[in-house]
Amino acid sequence: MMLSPKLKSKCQRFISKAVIYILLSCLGFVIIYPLFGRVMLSIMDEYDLYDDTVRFFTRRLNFGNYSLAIHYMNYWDSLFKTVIYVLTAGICQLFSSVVIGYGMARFKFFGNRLLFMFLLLSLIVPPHLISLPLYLQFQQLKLLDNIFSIAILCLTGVGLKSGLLIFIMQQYFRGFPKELEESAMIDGAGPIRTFFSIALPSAVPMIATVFLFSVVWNWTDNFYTSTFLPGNTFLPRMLLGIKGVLQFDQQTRYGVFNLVISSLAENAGVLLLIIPLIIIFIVAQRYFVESIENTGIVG
Amino acid sequence: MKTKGSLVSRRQKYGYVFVLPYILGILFLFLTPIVQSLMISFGEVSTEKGFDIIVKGIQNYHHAFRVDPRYVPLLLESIGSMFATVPIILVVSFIVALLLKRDFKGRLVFRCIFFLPVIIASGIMKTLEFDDILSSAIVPGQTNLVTGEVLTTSQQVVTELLLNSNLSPAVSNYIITGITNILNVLNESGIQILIFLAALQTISPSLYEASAIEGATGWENFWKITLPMISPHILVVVVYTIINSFVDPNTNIMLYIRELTYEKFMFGYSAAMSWIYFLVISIFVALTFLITRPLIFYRDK
Repeated sequence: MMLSPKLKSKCQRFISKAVIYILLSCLGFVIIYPLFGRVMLSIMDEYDLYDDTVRFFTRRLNFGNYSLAIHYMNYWDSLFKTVIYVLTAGICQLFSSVVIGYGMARFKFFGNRLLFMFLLLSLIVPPHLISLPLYLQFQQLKLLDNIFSIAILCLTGVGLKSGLLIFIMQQYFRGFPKELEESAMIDGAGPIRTFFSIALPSAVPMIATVFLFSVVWNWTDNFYTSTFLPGNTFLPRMLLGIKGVLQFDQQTRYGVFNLVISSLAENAGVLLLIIPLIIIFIVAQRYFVESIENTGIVG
Repeated sequence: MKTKGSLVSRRQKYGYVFVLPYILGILFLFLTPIVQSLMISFGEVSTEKGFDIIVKGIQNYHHAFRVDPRYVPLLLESIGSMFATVPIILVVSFIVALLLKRDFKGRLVFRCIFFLPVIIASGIMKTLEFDDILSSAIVPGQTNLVTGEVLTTSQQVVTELLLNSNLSPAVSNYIITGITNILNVLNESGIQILIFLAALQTISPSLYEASAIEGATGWENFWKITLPMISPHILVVVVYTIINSFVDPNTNIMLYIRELTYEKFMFGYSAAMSWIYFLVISIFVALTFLITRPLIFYRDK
């Protein structure tokens, strides 16, 4: 059987599209499934859980879980504080990882290798091991419960997972062609100007990724915030507290406490924690799509 | 004319300008605490008069290897699970990133879905359990959604299929762990997928245009352009995945160390165990660098 070349290429394209959709859908299903369960649970009524005929799809639509979660997490207020905190930490981490990553990738100074080894060591050492001495240090400086403590950690590249962010940028700049920067140097631009006008614009997809990581990690982190900002009311802490507070409240009001209701409220709280991050991703993802073709740099 | 210094040494000084914050951070906010923890590992903490360290020499290290019956098996287990999961995570995340890079309808939806693991595997999301009371309303019986045991029937089918085939038990066991862990693997690959995706976006399209003029096939493009251009990022991902598989707070060894630290307050012994563990991880990271060094393509050479 002979196929015309046009038909053949059409067939090939169809098959490759089909493969993409099937593979991504299968893998995506595995990821979505538990989350789908959470979403379905969040609109269930307490009685749905006792009802054996209910699987996934509620019979008694109920948005009360969300209002409970919003009330007990003090949602809007803590959302606002979380956003401020995450933006501060994120911008500091972004700045430090780009600058330090560039410095380590581009300049051959004495001690560069040693610094790189410390970078890897900082990836290996889990934060809980060094948190106590750091806590004491910040206590002496009277910087506890002050956002400066986090800002200092992030700016100096030792904040929450900063090591990985620096590592990403460092490897990116090492793979970036040096010739462009050298020609800028010959034209009379200093290293700092070269950095801002040549290296930075080309790194937009990487910068967007690093910033996104930083935002997500700081958003859901409870370790750094509870260590250095013990009085914080950010979303993760409110979410972890929701069950206890709700149970206590029920007990004092009605003399009984209901584990199911507090679990349902906690589940709704989890979704309320995730939703802003998904919105941020949808807004930010176009920076991954725009590759360097738009920046006018040709490798 | 030597007052100004040569161009090279002036450039060197600019390097220090860029990394100055990091030098400060490493010296004061990283090494100081690290040295303290190393000191603790050679002694025991006494909280009777403030914060004192009683030096005991290598006793803690001796205890870890020769006395404690749990430590060494846990250490070996974590190494084994690293070898079992890291290659699967790398392959899966690379393939997904390649697919997500392509242009097709609904790409945004899929990108969102594959971004979810970044959230799911971060911070408190990792420690929040799916309540047993709640999961009963979704899945019949005892299954736990978080550990991905929902796919049990299909797992059994695959297991039987593999055991009946003529594959060697080692290979089929490896595939079985891969399949039973598919949710874990995907949840752990979010960061890797995004790094690969961003790396793929930074490859200049002009390279592909040039190779198309030369008449290269997609297969050749993949091996001669895509792979070398993103090889630095592959190194990042490999190193990160190895480290992450070791220091995941839910691994048994980390749970054990945390238990001894926060429940039994054996600070000295748990610090010693942590340090042995770092040493093991460092060896694997160093090996990764040694093995991959000739394979990675940097344009700064």
